[in-house]
Amino acid sequence: MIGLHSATQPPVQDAATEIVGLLQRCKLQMSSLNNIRKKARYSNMYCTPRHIMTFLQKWAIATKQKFASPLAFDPSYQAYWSENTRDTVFQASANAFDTKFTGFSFCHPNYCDYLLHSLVGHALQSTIST
Amino acid sequence: MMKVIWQPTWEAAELLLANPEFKTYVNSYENADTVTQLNAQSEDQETNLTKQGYDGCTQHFENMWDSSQGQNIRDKAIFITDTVNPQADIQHTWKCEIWVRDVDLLKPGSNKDSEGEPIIPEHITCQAACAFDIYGKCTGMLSLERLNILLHAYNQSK
Repeated sequence: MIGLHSATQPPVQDAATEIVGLLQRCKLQMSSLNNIRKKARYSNMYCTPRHIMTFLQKWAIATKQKFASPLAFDPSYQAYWSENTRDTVFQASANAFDTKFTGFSFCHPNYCDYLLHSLVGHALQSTIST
Repeated sequence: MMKVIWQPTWEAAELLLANPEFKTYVNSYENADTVTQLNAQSEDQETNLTKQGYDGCTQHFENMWDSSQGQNIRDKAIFITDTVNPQADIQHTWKCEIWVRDVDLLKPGSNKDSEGEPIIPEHITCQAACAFDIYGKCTGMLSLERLNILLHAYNQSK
């Protein structure tokens, strides 16, 4: 993962600027969810509790996080994937659908029917082709 | 809310008395019987607008920005008309900043024992990393633990 900053466009700024940009992206994403039901909208704001993440890591051998965010990923996992390509500045991998799912992954995506359908489909295709 | 920032200026002390008729104006002000004048205007004669501070004359708006030195005070001031939250925002530095500081938070209260009474939120103070954009506006807060994780990830992917 070393050297990611040199290839990122627009050029990577200092850490403070990138963190401010990350928070603004998060706000923008939350505001775009206003048209969904209130209960689903609130559930998108919740992070997965730490003890559940630890449990899945220990007993389900989950080593990767799909559709995570730099603001919520667990650093004890080997790798995480984010929806936003700019999050590669914080060691995220860009698009979870670009590669085949391998091993056991943990995923807590936004509650979007289309996304959940695509995610399950991709997981099944990955399993079949393994 | 409007935020006004004064640019630094310096004026020599002797220039403050540059107006030769300064003492005349001071004397006329001190000799004027202002108390009598104020009492003469009964409250019945004042309109609602007058009570709110509007005197009907707009002439003073034309020279309200002129200083005693003849310079325009407006040129020395920067007016920022964006909304400002003095409790959260900082003076802009034209670059993004992360400040670790004490923040006041309200935690939803839970008084299950006393039914019927209003639930008052609990006030707590904790340390958090506040992120400010180039205009000094607070974009959001992070826990110190998450800030360290982000900084570590940022440095690792350099």
